[in-house]
Amino acid sequence: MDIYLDNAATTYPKPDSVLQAMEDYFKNVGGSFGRSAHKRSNEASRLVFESREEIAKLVQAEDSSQIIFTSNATEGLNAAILGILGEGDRVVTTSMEHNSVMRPLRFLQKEKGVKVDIVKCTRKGMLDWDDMEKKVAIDTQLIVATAVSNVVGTIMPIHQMGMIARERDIPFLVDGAQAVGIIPMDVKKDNIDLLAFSGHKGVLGPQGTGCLYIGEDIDLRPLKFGGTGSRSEYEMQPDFLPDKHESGTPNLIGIVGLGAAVKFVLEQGVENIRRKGKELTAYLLGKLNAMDNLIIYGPLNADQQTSVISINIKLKDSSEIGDILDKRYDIAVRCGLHCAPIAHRTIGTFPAGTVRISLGYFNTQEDIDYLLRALREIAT
Amino acid sequence: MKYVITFDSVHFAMKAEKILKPEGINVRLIPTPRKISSDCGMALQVQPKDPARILEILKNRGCRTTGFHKLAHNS
Repeated sequence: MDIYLDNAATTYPKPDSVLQAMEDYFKNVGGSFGRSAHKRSNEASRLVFESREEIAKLVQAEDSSQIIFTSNATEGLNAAILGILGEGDRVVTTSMEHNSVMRPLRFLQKEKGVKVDIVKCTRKGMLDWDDMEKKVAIDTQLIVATAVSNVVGTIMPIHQMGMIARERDIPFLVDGAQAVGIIPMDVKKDNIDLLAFSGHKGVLGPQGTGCLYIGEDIDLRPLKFGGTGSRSEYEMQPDFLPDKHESGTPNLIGIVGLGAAVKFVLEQGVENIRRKGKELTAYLLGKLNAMDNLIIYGPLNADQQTSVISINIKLKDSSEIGDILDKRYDIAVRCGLHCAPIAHRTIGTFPAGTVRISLGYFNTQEDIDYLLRALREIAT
Repeated sequence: MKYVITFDSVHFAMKAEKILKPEGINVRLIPTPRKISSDCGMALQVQPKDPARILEILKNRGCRTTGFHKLAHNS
């Protein structure tokens, strides 16, 4: 048996339709998009348009021109953070963030004197709401929070945070890397102004794809400038979406695959995907809880988390467990620090790290039973 | 009579094509004629019986256009 449980890093396998769409583009279409107007270019432009339309449906965006293609969630987060914050601004974030949020913020803190206010979270990775209300100040220019922790899978109170942001008229940026395609996301209902996510995790698309949703009232400084196929007589960057933020030839084959992936996710239904994930998570958590010599981090409640579970075996190094699982049992997990030192400090696993088990849409109970047998053998 | 609809972004040219085709309107994507504009490199050529209806459909469906040009007979 060969079992893949590292879906929080990237999902595997992908739906067959994703590779089919990519192959069809690569072999039979091949043109660039938005640049020329010959048949191959027109077909590529149609495919990009359709992909954008599917993604808009997935996150409930009003218009698909508000969806910007990026190379990953990190690029979207950087575009949003660097595009909004300036000299001396104040930003609120949480102590469960990934480095794709913390690093651009720490950079701005050092280079531009941006004040970074961090809302405390509990050892289970849950937001301290009183601290949240305290930290959001009159001069806060941005609230940025992850929707789901990449270390322990905690589902953060995005809806309530969005309400605070709306009440106080502060732009709200959400890191949806571990949420989109996994739990239902609705940018309008949750008052999300900016939503960055990757195409290759819960969305089941190819690596090198991601999106940034930009709400109507948000004026973002572009991260990059260049050719867009539009306003070609001007040397100034266009100021309309999506062109404003999409300079240079994009990852067309990836965008085509992403469109097919989103179609698959919408056909399954995110509600159904979530239900299935919750059932497997509840089963796994229950079994892990009954095991000796095991420490489980996070909410330990399938209603409050996704299928990302961090554990450790007492007196064992997390990297050693990961190595044994791979070499002896052909089980793929991630071990160590999951690019989120602040989250590890919050849950008390810095610098030791954890063994992260992350289930995907294609995992079964049989996979989990096999993992449990392996863990039992290693722990005793 | 032929008309050319121009857009700021190719995104809206694609959107217009998708909206107008099912309405039974004959549309063709063309490189934007240089004498019209160069907003976006792609434009939509249409041959409508009722040009005003086209613009109304596009507007109602939230499709941004930047121009609607009559093409001379010989072009």
